[in-house]
Amino acid sequence: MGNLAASRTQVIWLLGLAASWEVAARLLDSPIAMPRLGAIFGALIDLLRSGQLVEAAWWSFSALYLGLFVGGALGIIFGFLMGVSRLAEYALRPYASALYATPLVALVPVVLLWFGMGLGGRVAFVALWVVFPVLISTSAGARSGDRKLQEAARSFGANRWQIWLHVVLPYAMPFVFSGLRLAVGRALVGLIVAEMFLQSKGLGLLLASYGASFSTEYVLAVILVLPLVYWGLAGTVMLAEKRVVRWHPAAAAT
Amino acid sequence: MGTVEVRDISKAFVKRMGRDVQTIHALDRVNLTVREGEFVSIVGPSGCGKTTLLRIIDGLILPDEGEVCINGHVVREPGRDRAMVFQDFGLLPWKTVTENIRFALQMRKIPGDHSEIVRRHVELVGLKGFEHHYPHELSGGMQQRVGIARALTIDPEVLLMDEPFAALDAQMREVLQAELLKIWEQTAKTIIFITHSIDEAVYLSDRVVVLSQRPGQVRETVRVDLPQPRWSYPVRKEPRFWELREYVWELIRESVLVLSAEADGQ
Repeated sequence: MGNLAASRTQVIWLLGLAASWEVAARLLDSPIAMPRLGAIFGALIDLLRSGQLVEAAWWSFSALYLGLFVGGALGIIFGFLMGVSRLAEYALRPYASALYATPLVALVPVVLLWFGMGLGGRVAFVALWVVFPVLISTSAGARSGDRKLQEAARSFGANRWQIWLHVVLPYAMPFVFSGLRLAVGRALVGLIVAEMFLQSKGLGLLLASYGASFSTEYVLAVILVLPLVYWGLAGTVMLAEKRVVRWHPAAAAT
Repeated sequence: MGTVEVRDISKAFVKRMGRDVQTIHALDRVNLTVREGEFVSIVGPSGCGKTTLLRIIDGLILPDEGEVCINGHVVREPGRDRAMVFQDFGLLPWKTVTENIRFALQMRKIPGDHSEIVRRHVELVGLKGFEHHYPHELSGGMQQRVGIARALTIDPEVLLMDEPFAALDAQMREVLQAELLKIWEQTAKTIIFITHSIDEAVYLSDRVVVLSQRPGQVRETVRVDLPQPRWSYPVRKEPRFWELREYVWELIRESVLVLSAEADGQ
């Protein structure tokens, strides 16, 4: 019963951490530097009642969800091309690595000018964060493909396209998902930073505006919601991985 | 149908190790004729080009010189008249047993009811009850049964087998050898079988072709005059079996000695 032991440990640690926080907050007695638990939950309830939090979380979540799909799809397509075609690799690699190293926050204004301040721009921005880790790991997966399996398929009459579809692509799927898992965290951080930076609707804006007025209990209340958004996204990726990579010995073991 | 003629095949590979460019002559003017329905094994010291020869016959690679003809047609690429069984099984890990076998039917565009053809071959190799297992859920012996079923399912005239039982333990190997003989009896395929096991070659084949060390040439062809079907009696207890084994081993041993003398000299 590893799960039971895990959740027991986690609950105990959570309670311990909350108690220590409360003790420290009372000793420090400064609501701005370290608000008490009661104040944080009060802020959370206030935010929920006014509907601000739900609306902001929905804004951020929908941009993340769609961005994950768009960026993931683009990453798989271009990564696969780079993996199987040397010409595509030569042509695209410099841009991929240059953009991967670019602080994408710098591109926020440009992306929003191209795609608008609404959902389109935000999705495009998330996709930009997601696409590179997926592209890089997909291309590695497609390139490393098992030569012996490809030869076996060829022996049974598979042409180049069929080998890509039936051998190279499935082989690359575990790589695709390790890229996607990495991308989820990057996307969340990227979007929040962009929202703070641009003062655009979403959890980032809430954080920025309450932070500016030193309403620490509100900032912390919003931060408590971020893991929920992250788990929602990561859970989707995990479910998809379980379905697609069902055949993998490691997947069967868990 | 199912005659294989290998005519004056030569093949060299260029190997690059840093700045060193080395040409390796794998095969040197190999000639071999296999009659319809015949079971021929190819043995030889390791690295003598056995697998290269088989890949050329399958059409996966082309020879530098010479040609392979199946029923009088020159081989230029893999074709429907041949099917290969691989040493490491060559099964797609993301496809179940049924899907792996069906894959060959789809690639070869075989007409007819695929489900029915797959079912028949699953039964033929004794995989009933494992249709929906993934390869990693099966033992090596079971995986190679899938490999054999996949090859037979497209009804080739020539079955090419590249050390198919080398990765299996000794008991499983003997079980599958006997089963292969039964399948051969039922289907009357021409079989070309690569192995490094002299015991296996003598037990299974009508003829054993002994290749020399690299560059591989046919050193001698040994006719195995033990009666078929060999799965039906204890062949390995026959004095003649031991004589033939000894004889083939002597042929290979000379090549191995030459090789190790070369290695010592370097």
